[in-house]
Amino acid sequence: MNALLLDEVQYRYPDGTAALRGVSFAVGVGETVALVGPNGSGKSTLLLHLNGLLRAEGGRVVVGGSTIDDRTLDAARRYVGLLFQNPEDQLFMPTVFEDVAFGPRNLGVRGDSLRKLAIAALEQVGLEPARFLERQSFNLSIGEKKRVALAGLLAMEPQLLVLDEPSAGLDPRSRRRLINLVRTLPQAKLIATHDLDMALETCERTVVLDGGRVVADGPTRDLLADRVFLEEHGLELPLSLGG
Amino acid sequence: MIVLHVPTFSLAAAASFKSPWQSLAPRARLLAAVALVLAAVALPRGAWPYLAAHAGLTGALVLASRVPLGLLLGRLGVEFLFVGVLFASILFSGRGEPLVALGPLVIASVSLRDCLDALAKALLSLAVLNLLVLTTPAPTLLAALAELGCPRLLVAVLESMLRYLAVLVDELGSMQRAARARGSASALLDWATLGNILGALFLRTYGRGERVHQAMLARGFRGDFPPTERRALGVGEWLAVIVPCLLLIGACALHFRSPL
Repeated sequence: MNALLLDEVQYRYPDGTAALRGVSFAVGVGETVALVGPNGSGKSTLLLHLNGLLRAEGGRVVVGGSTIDDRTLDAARRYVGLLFQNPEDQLFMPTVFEDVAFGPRNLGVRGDSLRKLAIAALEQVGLEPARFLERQSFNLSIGEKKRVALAGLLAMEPQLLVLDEPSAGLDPRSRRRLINLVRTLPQAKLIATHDLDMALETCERTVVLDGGRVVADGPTRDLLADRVFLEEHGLELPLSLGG
Repeated sequence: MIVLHVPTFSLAAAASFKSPWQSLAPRARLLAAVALVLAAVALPRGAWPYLAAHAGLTGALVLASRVPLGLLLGRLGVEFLFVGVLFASILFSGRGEPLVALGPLVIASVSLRDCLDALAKALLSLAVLNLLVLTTPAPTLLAALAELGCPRLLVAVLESMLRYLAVLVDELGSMQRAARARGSASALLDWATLGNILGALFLRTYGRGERVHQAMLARGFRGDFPPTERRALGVGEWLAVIVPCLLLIGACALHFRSPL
């Protein structure tokens, strides 16, 4: 079974501009796939479809075996954890604990089990629960905010993690930590990124999106070594491949 | 912008102290503080013995909380800078027998009494409120509001306001810096630039509101808030609420008995 299957997904912005023109690809259980493409290629719009924040106008989005519709929306949101590009958008509760507990609380978890889930999620992202649980969200560094936002997703125990630009704005050490963290997470992952070196390190497969269409889908190492193809689509060779 | 940050986000400087006052449930502290402020306001003018009793109780709470006196006085000092103008206008209002004349300004007996009365009440109210905010972090205060039955939606709106105030202040700061970097002398003094900055800030806030809502939906939010979990108040906590309430009832009784 695939964790995610996109079948001819189409979407237009309210002003009529076509954003997705029939996007199809799949992410297998346990697989890590990079989604790359120039600005405006439709990556972020596509990600918002994956847990029903936007609904496809044509085609279908299948997560965990069921097509997203009104009936399956709640299950889809439990199945897919979506990490937003800007952690400020995601950390809206006043304290770290309340923020990490927000998702599981919506799923009906209460009391001690809620606290345990939050603690486990913080440990998983490498933040010491004793130091961070009661911290106020606005006083964290950007790297910590990203990790708390990720803990908020992990606390919901999703099967598919969808990460939008996880390494953007991070210093080299925070970026390295994040890459190591992503590699240890067992879930299936779809990572939208401009950081092609990170894609090379974390993803065995890459999907290239341009102009709302999939223009390539294949092994990361092959795709990202093709300088001509990358330049055609507004991208460059990763630094580690001599870019 | 640093100036804006400090008072907004280090308010509860004494929140982690271990003391009898801090061990009270936040909602008991909130109720006690509100009752004490109302009691101070409700006392009729010139009820000095009652004001002294109020001051005694407030002083006892300050001692019980182990809040450093210097910290409390420092905050009171800053706050009095703002209310000082008001006191000066009461002091020189010229009612009653003239006592001292300073050029055109006359301090008269009734004005002096009213000024001292207002000063004492303001001092007591501010001391109580500072005690509350110094010892209770803002999120805890909001949780206490929810426990007291304040509508959950209202508390949630206040929570996000508190959360995003820092982000907005940061954005305002960076927009001002960007304006200055391109030669605008001082964005705060140039009305046209300030107007544009505030307009842009409003639009960004609106966009952020949308994105935050999406992030909430993505984590299973369906528009309803979970019920608040709260523990029952203990004997000491009831006492901490009842004593200020008795003071409030006494103040109200005095107020309605005394001629205005």
